[in-house]
Amino acid sequence: MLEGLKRVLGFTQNSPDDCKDSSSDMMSCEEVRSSIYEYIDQELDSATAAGVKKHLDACPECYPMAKFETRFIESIQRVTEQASASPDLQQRILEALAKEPDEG
Amino acid sequence: VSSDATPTDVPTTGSFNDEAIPHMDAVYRFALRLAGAQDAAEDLVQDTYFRAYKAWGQYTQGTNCKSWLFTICRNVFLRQRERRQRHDEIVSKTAHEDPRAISREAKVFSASKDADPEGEFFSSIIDEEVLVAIESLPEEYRAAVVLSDLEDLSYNEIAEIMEIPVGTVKSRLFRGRRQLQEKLYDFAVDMGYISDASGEG
Repeated sequence: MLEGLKRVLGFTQNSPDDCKDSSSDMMSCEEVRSSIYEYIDQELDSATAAGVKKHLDACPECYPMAKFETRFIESIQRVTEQASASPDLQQRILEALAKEPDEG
Repeated sequence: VSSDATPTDVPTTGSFNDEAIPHMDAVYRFALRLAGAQDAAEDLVQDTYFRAYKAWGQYTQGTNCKSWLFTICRNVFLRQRERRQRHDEIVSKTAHEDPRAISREAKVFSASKDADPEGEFFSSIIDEEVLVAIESLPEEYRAAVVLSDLEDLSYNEIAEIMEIPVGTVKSRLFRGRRQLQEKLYDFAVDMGYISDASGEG
């Protein structure tokens, strides 16, 4: 997942005019914006992901949006929690299960 | 010779201990995000493991045990919530999932792009505040966000756990993240990490 984030953060931006001049082979801003999370999450097939990347590299509107969304996703994912089941809870569960007749 | 802390006298239980018990921390974290409070989360984990144990015969060994446990955990949580909120007003339980209804407009990005185009303010928000914001999301969105962003699961795995199509995972994740973004933005404005340029209250 972090690879995806780095990929988005690391892309290089080309001439802003590339986007506006784009012909039919370029994805539209709307298409890119609606699939930006799938792109960041690396859930797109490689051809579509390449299309998104191509657009982002060229589009002065979508490029900052993608960086913004990436920063946002990072801020959630970095929270990766410290919380864990207490030893007491584990013990309680194991003891309760030990008293259960097998259902398998 | 068998371990005295675990039920090992039947074969299925042995595999239960090997496959299901090691995921308890992950199940606990998921339960905590669903239930909100530690006590409630512990009860939820206990119920989850109890049900999982009873249903162990239905689990295909060697498949994704963590996802299987998450599915049970969420179902237990939803049933409990349904029981608890029977008389209360609930936010629409089955939100319409019409993908066309999703706002593609990135309100927060639009609001902050002059003052902070790269979203630096997100980095200033402490973990606890992010977790509070996640907990305030409607359950349908919260589960998708937690499973994707905190548990690092794929859309397919989330679809399996939530028992919904992958397309619905996408739309819930999209909406959930956008709502979360708005909450974090409001928080950042309140805290002075960013000035409110949206012109809205």
